Amino acid sequence: MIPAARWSSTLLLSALLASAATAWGQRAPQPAPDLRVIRGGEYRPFYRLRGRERVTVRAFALDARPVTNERFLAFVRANPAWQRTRVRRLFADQDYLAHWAGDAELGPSARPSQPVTRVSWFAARAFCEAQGRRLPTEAEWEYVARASERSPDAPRDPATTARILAWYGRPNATLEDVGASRPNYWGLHDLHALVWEWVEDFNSALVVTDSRDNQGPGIARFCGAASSGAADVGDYVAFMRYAFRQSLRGSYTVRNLGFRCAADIAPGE
Amino acid sequence: MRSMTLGLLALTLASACGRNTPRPAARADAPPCHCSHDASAPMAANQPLPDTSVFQMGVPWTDQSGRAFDLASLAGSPTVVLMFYGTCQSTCPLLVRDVKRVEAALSPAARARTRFLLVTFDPSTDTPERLSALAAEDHLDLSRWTLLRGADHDIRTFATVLGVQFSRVGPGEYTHSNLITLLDPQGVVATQLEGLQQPVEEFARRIEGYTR
Repeated sequence: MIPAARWSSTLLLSALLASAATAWGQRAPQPAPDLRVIRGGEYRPFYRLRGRERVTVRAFALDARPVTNERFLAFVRANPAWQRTRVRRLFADQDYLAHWAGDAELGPSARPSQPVTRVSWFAARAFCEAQGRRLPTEAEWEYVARASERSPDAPRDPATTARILAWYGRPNATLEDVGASRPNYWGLHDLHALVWEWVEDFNSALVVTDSRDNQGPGIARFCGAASSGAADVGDYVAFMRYAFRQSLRGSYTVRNLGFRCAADIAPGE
Repeated sequence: MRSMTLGLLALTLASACGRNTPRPAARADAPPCHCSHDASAPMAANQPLPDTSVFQMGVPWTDQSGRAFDLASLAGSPTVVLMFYGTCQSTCPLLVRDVKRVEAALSPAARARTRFLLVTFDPSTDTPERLSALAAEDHLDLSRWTLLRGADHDIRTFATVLGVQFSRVGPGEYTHSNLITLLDPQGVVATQLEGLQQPVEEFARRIEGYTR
């Protein structure tokens, strides 16, 4: 499986390069029907480490939409080790794909075009790798999440913020289908207000304590002399994302936590 | 309060807001223990590892001699695991010392049957030569201690399995959880020590139980 994945990754790269070459520098170029090329850049993250107040993101490509039940079904059919009754407990908790009708059957509670949810980080990662892709990093995901419909960097866009806050407060009855919301500046759908999404380094260490200052139980949980607590406290929706990710473990599955995949592109593209 | 972490804040807030905010932290995340009834029985050689065993991850590691190392070779031994990196100036030396405190707290018989794993976050700096040198500096007995490096991808996998949080914040610089893990002889997480200079009696008691 690994050589095949590498091979398809090469194919993907060529396809990306061929189509990105002409579209580069324009708004939301479209290299493949399901991928969007994201220009590199830098931003001031919600959470800042001392001396590293800006985060640099290299150009990459990202799925335009979260992965659907239909795509994940094809994946578990081809990779039975990731089916509900076969997955190792180390890699997915007991609620993994619990809303599906069976190991390889969606059933009435999981429409094909809904985002797949109740998937663990391990499963999401395995899916992306099977496509020759990877999970986006937290920095990449947060970079594109700052975009409004018209601007690549509008983390406090009132319309977007209002939509996200409304979502936070809404009981989640049924999930909409993917792609129903308007795309943002990068041509990405559903970054907000549909599902939360896994990132590769969801378990990054964000620390506001000097870990050597060991004064009692509960202190010194982290090592990191470079850490500091400076944060953009006004960016509440970003705070919620960081907070949520910090509460996860890799085997957890959650009814409104899905994912999308990313791909590398060559430097300079 | 200097000891406050974002994670703590996170949990508080996550549980305080609307229903659309998932609350996985409320779920019991204590690792299941498959070892209670036969904790002291030595593992049969071909006994299949439980579903939650860290030993069956199938990740390629390399030890301080540059040799391939399979975690499955640890089956049958209680194993103490620490993720660290060699150029760490702050807590890693203290953490290694904590693992040595566990080692020192064991009876000679239990000590001889226990394995100690140090897994680096920083494989580009921590080459086999560097890991070997670290072992020598710290007087680690290589019949019991193994220092491992792997691909970045696999290091993230391993950290995730153990619940270790870490970030690379610059060349040769990481922030990470201070977390020491005890794996039972089947490779299932038995208990963890969080923080520095914590009491090691619980680790020692359990290891004595596994090796009696």
